[in-house]
Amino acid sequence: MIPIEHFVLLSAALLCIGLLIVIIKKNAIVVLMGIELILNASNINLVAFARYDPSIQGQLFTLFVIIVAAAEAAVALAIVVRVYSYFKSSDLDRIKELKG
Amino acid sequence: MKHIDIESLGLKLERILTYGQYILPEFLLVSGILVALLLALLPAEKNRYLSSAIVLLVLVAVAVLYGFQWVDTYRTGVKSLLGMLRLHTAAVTLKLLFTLTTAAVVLLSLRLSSLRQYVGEYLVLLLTALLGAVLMVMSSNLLMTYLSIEMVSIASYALTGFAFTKKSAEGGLKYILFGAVASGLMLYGMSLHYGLTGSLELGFRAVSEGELLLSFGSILMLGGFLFKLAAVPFHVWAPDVYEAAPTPVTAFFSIVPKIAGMAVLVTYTRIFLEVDMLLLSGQETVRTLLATLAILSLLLGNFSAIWQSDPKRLLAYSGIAHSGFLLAGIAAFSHLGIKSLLFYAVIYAIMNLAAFALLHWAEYRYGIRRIEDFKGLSQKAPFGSLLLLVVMVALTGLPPTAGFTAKLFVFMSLWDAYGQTGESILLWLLVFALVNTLIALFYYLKIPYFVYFKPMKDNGQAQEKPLSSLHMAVMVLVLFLLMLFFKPEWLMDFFNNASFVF
Repeated sequence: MIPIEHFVLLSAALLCIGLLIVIIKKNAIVVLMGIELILNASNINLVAFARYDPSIQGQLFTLFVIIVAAAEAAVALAIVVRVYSYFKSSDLDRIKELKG
Repeated sequence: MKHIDIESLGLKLERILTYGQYILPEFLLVSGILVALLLALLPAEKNRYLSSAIVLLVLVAVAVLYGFQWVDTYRTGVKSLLGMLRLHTAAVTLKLLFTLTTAAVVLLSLRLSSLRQYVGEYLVLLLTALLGAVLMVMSSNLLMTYLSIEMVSIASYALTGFAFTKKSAEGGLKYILFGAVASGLMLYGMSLHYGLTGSLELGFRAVSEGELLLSFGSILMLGGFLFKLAAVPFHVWAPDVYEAAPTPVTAFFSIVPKIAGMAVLVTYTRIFLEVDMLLLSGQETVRTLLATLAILSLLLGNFSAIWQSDPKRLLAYSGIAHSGFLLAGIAAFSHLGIKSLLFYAVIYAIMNLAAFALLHWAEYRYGIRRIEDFKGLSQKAPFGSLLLLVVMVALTGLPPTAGFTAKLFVFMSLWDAYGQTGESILLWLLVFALVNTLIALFYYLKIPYFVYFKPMKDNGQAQEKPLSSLHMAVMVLVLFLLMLFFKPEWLMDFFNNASFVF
């Protein structure tokens, strides 16, 4: 049996990579990919911890997270398409109409 | 693998059915969403009044059911539903407030030209956000909290785009990127919390190790709630989104998700107190953290608002400052604090609804989009200007309006908490809150200043109708604000014997 620490370290690494992508990358779609990594880091945690839980709440939570992530990605991509049609770019540095 | 026991399954089903009666209003809301989805199939141009009327009817019915539920919980106290939701008077009060606010927003958006084609979709999203907010204030389980917060968020992201302009697309993108990162971090915090306490239910503690990770997880969760509350340091999205969204939607954003975020934060504060945030002794650290965030929100919100030229942006920063006041009420950690928070929430909702309704009126009737455009409005529309003046005075927190009373109650609960614990951070918070009320004078009264003391440029605009329906509605709200200043006990008495689990 793989010790729990390995799972926690893996998920922490995924979280950091996801956050770095969100901060560094300029393209809206790549940022969304980073967000997906953050969500999956939490999923790994939940599933790994669920092994120590007599009920399967953690695994159930993961299923819900996967569904929510899909819904969120759908809305996000729709918004990106909309933004692209106005700005002709999905580069976050060029989308700066709102200021103040 | 466990065997599924038919008998226990039957028992479970029976339990679910008996608990079903307590979430009857939510069932009605869900069926309202389905009906609105079907209405979206009709040609929108002709049927938008019909769709809005049906949705309004559903909202009124839900509000009536909440009224009964309020009386019910007032008698029976706190009720836990399957370890997922908790029903108590404070939650029902907020649910009622949200439902009425949403009804007002539906009425307000009848005039939105951008909605002519998409009224069905708009109503579905609005009701979904309401359902999420209603579940948020009741949730007592990590899974429920996450799902309800996402329900509000995802509907809000889509609602931001409903102005169908370049700006609103940009606002939507900023909102979803900030929101998804904040909720992702919150989820990570929740997963750590689950692993280290062994349960998704709140107030459950099986494992006693991993104190550092647990406080890390709590901080991440706090971040997610602060995002909904639009408080420092998760406030960055608010001004852009408020400016980009259509005005009635902005009114919704400034009230419902914010107050729901406050309720969730209050529920979880008890958990944060148990896990020893930041590894120091519990209560003082959490209090210092919340009080510091409150001070920062107050300062940042008020000082940024001074430089704004867009009225919606101004109200966004004022909303951040109001989040500071809500956090101050939470930091008192007392029943008096919770009561003052409920009072503040109700008054805040009334004030903001009135303010955004008047902005909306000025926008579609006189084409006013910047604060300078308010010049000489008092000559064109004396009654509307008077209402605007009273609402701005209330938002500042001056007598004779309930905005003053609400702030007074928060100050009183802070002073009381300071007297009991003698923690100096509470005194600092009190001082900063008082100073900030003065700073707020500068920018709130800027609008009435332009309205009354600057001459109008052209005389070509139409005179206002003697009494439009919007003015009547806002007048009722303003009367509430004035009445609750003189008789705050009318509202406060409701909260005095109420049950809280917060």
